Amino acid sequence: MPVVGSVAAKPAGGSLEVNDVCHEYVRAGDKTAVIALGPVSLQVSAGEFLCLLGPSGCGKSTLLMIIAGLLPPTRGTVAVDAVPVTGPSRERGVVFQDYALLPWKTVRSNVALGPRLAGASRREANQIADEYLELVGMPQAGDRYPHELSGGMRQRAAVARTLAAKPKVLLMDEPFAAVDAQTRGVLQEELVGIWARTAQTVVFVTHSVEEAALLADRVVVMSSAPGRVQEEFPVTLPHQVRFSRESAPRVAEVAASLLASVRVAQPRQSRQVASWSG
Amino acid sequence: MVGLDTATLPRVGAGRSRSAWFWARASSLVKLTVPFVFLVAVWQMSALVLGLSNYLYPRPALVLRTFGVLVAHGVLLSYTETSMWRWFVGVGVGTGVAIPVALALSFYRPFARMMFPLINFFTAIVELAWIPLFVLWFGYGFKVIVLSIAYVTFFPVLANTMSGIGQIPKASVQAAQTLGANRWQVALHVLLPGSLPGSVTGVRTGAGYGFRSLIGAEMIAAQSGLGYMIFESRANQLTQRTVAGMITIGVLWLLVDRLYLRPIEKATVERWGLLRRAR
Amino acid sequence: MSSRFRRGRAPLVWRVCLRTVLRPGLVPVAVVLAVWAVLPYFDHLPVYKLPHLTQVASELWHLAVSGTIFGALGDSLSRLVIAFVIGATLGVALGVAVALSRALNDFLMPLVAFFNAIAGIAWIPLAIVWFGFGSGPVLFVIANNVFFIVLYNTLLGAEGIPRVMYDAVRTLGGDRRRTIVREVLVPGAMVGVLGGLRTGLAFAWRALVAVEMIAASNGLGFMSIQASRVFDGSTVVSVILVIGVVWILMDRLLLRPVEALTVRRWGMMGGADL
Repeated sequence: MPVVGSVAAKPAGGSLEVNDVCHEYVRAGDKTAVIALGPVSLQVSAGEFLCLLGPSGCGKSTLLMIIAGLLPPTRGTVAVDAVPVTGPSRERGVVFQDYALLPWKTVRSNVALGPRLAGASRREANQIADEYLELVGMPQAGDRYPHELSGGMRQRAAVARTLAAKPKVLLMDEPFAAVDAQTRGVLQEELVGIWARTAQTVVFVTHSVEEAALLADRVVVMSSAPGRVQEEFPVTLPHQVRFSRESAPRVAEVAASLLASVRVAQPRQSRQVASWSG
Repeated sequence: MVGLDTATLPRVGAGRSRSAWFWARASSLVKLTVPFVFLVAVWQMSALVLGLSNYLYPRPALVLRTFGVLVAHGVLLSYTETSMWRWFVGVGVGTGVAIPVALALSFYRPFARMMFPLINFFTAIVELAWIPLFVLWFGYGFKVIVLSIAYVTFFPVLANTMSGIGQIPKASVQAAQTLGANRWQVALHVLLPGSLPGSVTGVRTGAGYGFRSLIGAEMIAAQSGLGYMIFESRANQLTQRTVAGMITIGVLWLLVDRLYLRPIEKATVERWGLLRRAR
Repeated sequence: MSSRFRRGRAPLVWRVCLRTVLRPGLVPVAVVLAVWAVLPYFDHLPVYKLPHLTQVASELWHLAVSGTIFGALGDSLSRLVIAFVIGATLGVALGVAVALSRALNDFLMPLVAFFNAIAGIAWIPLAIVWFGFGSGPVLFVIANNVFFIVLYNTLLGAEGIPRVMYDAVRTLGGDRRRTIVREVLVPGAMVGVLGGLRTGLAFAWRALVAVEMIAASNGLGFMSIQASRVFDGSTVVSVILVIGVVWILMDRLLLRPVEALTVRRWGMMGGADL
């Protein structure tokens, strides 16, 4: 895939700091405060690919929404490049699990939205959009509407849209959970390719140990009720070789140790919960 | 606002206490009442400010008293009864005709496609436009009103029943067939129950149209009923009765819709919705 | 039948004409007309109850040539357009404004539902008190009816927008209220708005006929009820036919194209209609 000039010229990602973040909510029934998350502290350096891994209900998506600024933390702070986060902004782009493409816009207009909101003219924005659509491997799909695309294509478009806003940190909330296994494999590999080229800082939420093992520089395993950092795993295997057949055993080895950690993190009562939700 | 993951947290106290339930109920009741209290306040204030006569702009207190009078004389109850009976019969007749027609049309799809333009044309004719003709046929009263309600109920029930049948997964029909069902057994065991969510939605829509039609028809072609009451009171310069009647009409419809139609629709659609989603 | 056309002997114009004329859907229409035509020979209904097909046809011709029907239609349609535009504009504008505030929305929703439940037609007597007979009550009742239907549906449409759409735009840098309104709220509520406009127009059209019967001194509704009073069945039936045709035209020329260009194109509307 040819690397388009402006994509490669993009500055490297920013660093992220999460300090003692807690999230409490008031239970509807008896009006008591429940601690869902935290305190959690994390440091993500610029250009790092971090996976947040944990059982369902451990608050990893909540943490991601707090980092995004979409959910105010009850306590604690989040900062990007040492600037505190006060609300959502384009410096922290989010790829949502269910795509969240605007159905009334074509794929191109969806991707162009970030540049448009940043003040680019329609022509410039469309040009940027086309570059990013090319980056995610769907240069022909610009004129189509989201509902005309398959799940995998929609998620590609969503990634392109988020990247086109040139965020310092890319937040991904189980983005590949809703696509079929084969497409997921392709998307994962493409994501790593894009990440390598754009030097983007990524925080990637997943409940799949295989996914974490394939993608991350570092995996943070979270425990649930309340969600806390249980353990950290650096993954030293070079990214270029992870998707090759020869490395499969080594990836599986990483996944196995992650799984062991997740097992410990998972409390008894929620182990029976077969489904998770984002 | 509850965070995204918190919804899946294990619930510790699953059995909510009785008082919590009570408070939830009470707060939703307050949320429902306050806007109406506000409305009445605005009504009263505006009446004071505008200083119009009770004929042009009856005061809340007068309307309330009128309610008392109408109830005490039994007028309101008897007119409500009359109207609701007409409405009930009209919706019943419309539904009773529409569902068999829908089933028959679904059975012979090519024939149905042939019939659509004609059906579309009759759907396009406002039921109230028929009233002058119905009046020529039957004179004023029950038949005209019931017929116009049945007319306006018929089409949404027909359309929704057919689309309900259209949404039945082919696999369900095939499953029945492989179990040895013949045409009629397929209709009885698959199509009829499968059409139910559609029919129920259609009846709710049709009943709504029918209710509006009822009031219009009673103003034009009746000597009793709520529509007649609000219209006739105006001629007698008793605007407060008109307003009391309008409020009755609004409350009646909300009660019927929220207490009967919506729960029935919800129960059916949800129950069968599960079945459909499994496709 | 179609295979004969496919051979391609007949000139294209002919084929197109035949194909439009010889639609299978017209068979039932023809049957109804035929039954209507022969019915008088078997049944001895008085003519005022069921005018003959020929009588209605000549009445329609007469009404058209004299321009009477167009005059009435013009009166009715101009009222409809004016009242509809007023009601719809106010409904959408207020709907979007209210939808911006959760609290205001929750506060107004029960009231809107209640006014929506007071069937538009039920305002006729009050409208006559306020505006006298004539165009006044017709305009008021229709505008009022359209306003609440459109408002209600706009609010429902806005409520139906998934939260994640707002989140997506906010994380892309859309932090101003105007951006949110333009990028999410208005297009997202479009399904509701268009549904509301459609329902509103349908109810407006029905209310128009009813109000004109009761409170006007011209227009289609008035023409029809007046004819009924003097036992002029042919005019009554003529007006019925005109009302049907006009609605079909409005639906085909106005509502469907707008829907096809917006919510249908966006894949936001499922469901079949007849």
